Amino acid sequence: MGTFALNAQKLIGAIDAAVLRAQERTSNSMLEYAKKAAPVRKVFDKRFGKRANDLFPTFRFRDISTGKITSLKGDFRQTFRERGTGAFKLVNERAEGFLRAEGRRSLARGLNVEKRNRETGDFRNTGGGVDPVTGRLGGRLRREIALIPSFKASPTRRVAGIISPTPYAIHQEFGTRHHASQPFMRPALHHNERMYVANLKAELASAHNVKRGGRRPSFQLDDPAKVAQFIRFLEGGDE
Amino acid sequence: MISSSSRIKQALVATMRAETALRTAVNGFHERFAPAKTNYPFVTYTRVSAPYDYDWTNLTLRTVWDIVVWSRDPVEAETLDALVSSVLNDASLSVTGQSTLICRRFDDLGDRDVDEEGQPVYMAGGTYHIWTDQIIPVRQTSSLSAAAVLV
Repeated sequence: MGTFALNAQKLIGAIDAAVLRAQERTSNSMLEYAKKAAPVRKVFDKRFGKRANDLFPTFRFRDISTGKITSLKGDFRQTFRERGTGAFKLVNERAEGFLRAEGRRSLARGLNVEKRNRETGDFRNTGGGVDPVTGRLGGRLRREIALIPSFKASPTRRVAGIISPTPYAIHQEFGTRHHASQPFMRPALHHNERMYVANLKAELASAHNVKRGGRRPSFQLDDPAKVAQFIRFLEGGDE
Repeated sequence: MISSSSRIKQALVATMRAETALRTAVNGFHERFAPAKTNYPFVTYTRVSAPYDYDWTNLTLRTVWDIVVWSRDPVEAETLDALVSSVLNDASLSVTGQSTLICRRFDDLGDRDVDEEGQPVYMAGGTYHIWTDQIIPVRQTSSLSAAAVLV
């Protein structure tokens, strides 16, 4: 029975690897869907009837050493990395006038987060209303959705998924008395659940067909006697 | 032409309205959100997702809905939610152009919120799966030729 146990372990390993790959493919697809479906805050200006981001595409900073005003479009992380965040002061007074108070506060928060991250050497934005990469307002909910890589929750159970850790994510998903729900996590699950089955089938089929060391696996699941042995092995009753 | 999940929404609301006890007990059925001045209790319904599942001849719509009762009294909210559940769970909805496969409650929802007046508001509801099936219309073409001999 030693040879059989070895083959069964190989088979279990192959199945586990196939499940892992299927889960990773599906959870990546879920992540993509949830990021697309997650609502992004819209800051409107009543006077102009335009989106704030349309009025405010560029950050303008005053270089403290020279007094010169610089416009930094898009990804200004490299500039901050070279000069340090303390070298600049935000001078978007005119542009800020277009924004509501909420937008201005978000802007300040976004830059503070950027500075804090600069001290730790990490430039990723972990919060705030302004994305320092794109320089645009909003998008925190979307940006913080993350993947939970496939892991073994128990010897016979493997789990993967996505998570939205933003504190107000639950209010977006289910709504409150003050605003309607905008579900984005559950649709990601529902749109991909059948895809997971398809991925799992494809991965299991490829795992079954794979040749190890130039030989096909000697354990064949189409033999009823060995299937029964295999089930007993899985249940721990036959080694 | 295939019919979309908006037909399911119509049937869902019609089914709830058809239940006299429920219709008289609540102040309307609102899609996603009720205006601030709406009197309690009331019902909101939200389409969570509606993926299309095609096979060769049929289309299955696997829709998911959140149906929630809002009330100032938690007991009233729970009671009305139970009424909604009894009306909808395993109901056969009359969906135009579609046949209902299942209409079943799969999850409970509940929360407490505060309204504009600072008063507590309670929500009680559930997540419902409504699956329908419809035949995909197929365009059929035919040709006809005729010949005549004149003598």
